[in-house]
Amino acid sequence: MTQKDPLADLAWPGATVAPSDECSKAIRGACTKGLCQQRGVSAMTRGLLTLGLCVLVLAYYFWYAVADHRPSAIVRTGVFGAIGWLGAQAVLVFATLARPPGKRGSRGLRVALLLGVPLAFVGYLHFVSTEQFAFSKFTQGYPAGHAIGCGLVALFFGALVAGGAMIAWRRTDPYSPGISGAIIGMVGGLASGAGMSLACPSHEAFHACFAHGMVVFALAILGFGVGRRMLAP
Amino acid sequence: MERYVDGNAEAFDGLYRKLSPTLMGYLLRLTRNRARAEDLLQITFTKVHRARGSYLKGAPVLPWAVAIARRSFLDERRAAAVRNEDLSADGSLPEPRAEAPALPTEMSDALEIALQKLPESYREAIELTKITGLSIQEAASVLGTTETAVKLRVHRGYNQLRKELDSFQRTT
Repeated sequence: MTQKDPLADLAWPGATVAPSDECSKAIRGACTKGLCQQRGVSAMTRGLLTLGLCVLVLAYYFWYAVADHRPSAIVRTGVFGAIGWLGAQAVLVFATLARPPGKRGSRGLRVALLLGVPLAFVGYLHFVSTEQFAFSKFTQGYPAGHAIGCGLVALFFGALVAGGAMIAWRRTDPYSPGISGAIIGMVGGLASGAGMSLACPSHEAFHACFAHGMVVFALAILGFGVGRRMLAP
Repeated sequence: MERYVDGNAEAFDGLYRKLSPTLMGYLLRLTRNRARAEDLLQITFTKVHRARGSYLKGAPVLPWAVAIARRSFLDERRAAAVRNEDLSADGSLPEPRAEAPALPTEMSDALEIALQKLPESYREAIELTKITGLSIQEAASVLGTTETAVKLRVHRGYNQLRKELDSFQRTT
């Protein structure tokens, strides 16, 4: 004898429950008091604002490189690299945070980019390096101090971009604010890391990867924590 | 939602009438306590009110509101977990836990008990898709996971529910 599936024709519990009148009254009072028009900026504008911040930081690094008389070959390589990575930032912003008119990329794509892009960036920095010290030489004396200085400057400017972008995107993501925050941090880190290739005279492989590249990882991790607070409504 | 964002108070009433029973039902299932569910409903609507400027035109409202409600619940639960003692409003000690529920006599009771026995991730996936009425894609957004993961959780949850209800059917 076949037994009937217990889940067939099952009466699931009701989905709706009316809140009490007092609760409804309190909510209505809080949500309609002094209600005025509030039209936030579109996803496209938020994305353009984020990219605008990246361009501003890159422009500052470029100005510094020119004012400090960097060799033109280094500046040229840096400019091409920075423009290339600006394109990557634009793709990241519009593919993962808000494709017009406001859809986000799938979670799988967002996580894959979050893991893959920083590694690709460090790979790029290593690829365009013109020299490489022994690791023991890099960790001592002037190279180590220079790397720490560069890392802090990159972190500062990256945090400025990421902080501004966090404000532009605040309260927009109740679904996965941590991942969105990490992506914003990564975009800020990419702008600053790529810009450091212009401003920094050293094109040594360890220096580029640690001092210019690690800012992307650091800001992505920082962005994850800050995003959970700032991007959730 | 768009008229509410434009500052229309009557539009809020319409929105509240549509959203509040579903959100209240969802929060009540999460908390199993009416007072806490009403507190969380107030917090949720306050957050909706504050974030209305960032609502993206044309986006579905219910998953957006459910995601805010779920996040409010998780925040409140996290805050409660770090408190040493959960005193009532007048400063007295909390009441002792209620006794274990009696054995189910009807299928609906058995289903409630079986749902409570499920792991949280399976229960949430089933509740959002089967009870709250969200699509798989919307439930995946709310839970912050992939559609495949939601389908898998629902499937595994169903298998466990089927076992529990099957044993109930046999005993009755």
